[in-house]
Amino acid sequence: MREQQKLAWLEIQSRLQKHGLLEGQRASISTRIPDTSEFWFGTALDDAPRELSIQQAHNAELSALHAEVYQSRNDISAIAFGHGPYGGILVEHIGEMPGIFDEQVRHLGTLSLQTYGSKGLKERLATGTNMLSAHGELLILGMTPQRLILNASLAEKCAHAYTLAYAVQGHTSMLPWIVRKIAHGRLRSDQKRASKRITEGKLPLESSGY
Amino acid sequence: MIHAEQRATLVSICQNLAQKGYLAGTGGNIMVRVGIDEVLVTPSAKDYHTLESSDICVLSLSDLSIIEGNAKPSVESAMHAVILRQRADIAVSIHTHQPLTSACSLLDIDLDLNDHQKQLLGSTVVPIHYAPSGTSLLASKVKRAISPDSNAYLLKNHGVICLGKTFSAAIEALDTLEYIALASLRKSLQQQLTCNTKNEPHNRELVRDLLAITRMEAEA
Repeated sequence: MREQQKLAWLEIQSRLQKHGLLEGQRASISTRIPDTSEFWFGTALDDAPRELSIQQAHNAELSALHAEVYQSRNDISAIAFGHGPYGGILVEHIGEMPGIFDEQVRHLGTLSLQTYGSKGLKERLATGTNMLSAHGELLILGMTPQRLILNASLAEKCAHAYTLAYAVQGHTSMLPWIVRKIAHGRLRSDQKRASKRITEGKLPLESSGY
Repeated sequence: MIHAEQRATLVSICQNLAQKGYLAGTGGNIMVRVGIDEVLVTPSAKDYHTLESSDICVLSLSDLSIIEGNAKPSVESAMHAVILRQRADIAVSIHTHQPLTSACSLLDIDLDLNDHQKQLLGSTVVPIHYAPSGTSLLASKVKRAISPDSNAYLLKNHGVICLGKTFSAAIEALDTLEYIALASLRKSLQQQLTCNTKNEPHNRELVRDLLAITRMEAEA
């Protein structure tokens, strides 16, 4: 599992770099090592990740942020901190993105305005969203490394469409509340299953459908 | 494996569309007619960058039963099927979440077509009201909207469907639509800068940044 998650880290780095989704000076990636209290961590430019403890990664700001997510969210196995071109514009100029696309609310959730400090981050993590802003960057979460790659790509596509629509019209139509409620419920069910697997020392399974 | 060559072509097209950002995450799907009652369809919840021929499903167009394939067919199979049943002149139905046209799907704007674009897309880009992905409600709204005069459909808060007699015609329609969306959005952004004097400075910075970044897309 340790080596598998190290390879997953390298795969995430390669895929996100290739698509320009790891911009930002503090761009970094991590993968949880199930059945341990450790995770693989490295910056977007590192050749390889290093192993850190979730409990003791408090000295360096970047790794501490990743560790805090793993402590707060038992369902998360992989994290990307950084953004693509439109994700950067979204965080810098708008700061939030409501539920506008089906796949977004099903897999990412919504982006709410940044609340500063550790308490604010914990509160937003507790909502179950997989898309947050912190320190002027996007924080994208995945139940699996594969889902993280898909979520990062999805976040950039949604940011691309939303920033343009927002700039043109100032507001956009949101999905009906019932659709958002059902999608959120499905995401929460996935998260409960993932959390159970991680507690059992296993990697979560991929989501098999919409 | 039946229709091996067509499956390989479909995989290659999916990967190209994913590379262009038209298929993001697992979003978007394609159905192609390969026989009187046989169609190929992309699988559900599959990363297009790792798609293989064996992931492609062969379905009966009439009842969507699986003829061959281990993967779960796209949740939008019914939506594509109503199109191919209604438009016998069409072989390819592509649904994407391409970002620029998706931005237009969030707005109340019409996409104006010139004569050359009308030859490819039809007389108009038909808007379709929102219905949740993968539902019979969406398939039924698409069925009501399908017209022999249009090969381009804009799904509210969702994405786009383009049709073609061939893959290349359908892909050209997608590219044309994205080009039209880019031109339309850039024109609206320019108007924001020049006409709206009440625009707050913060929003002006947003508009300027978007004009700069979309200029690169337009030049590419």
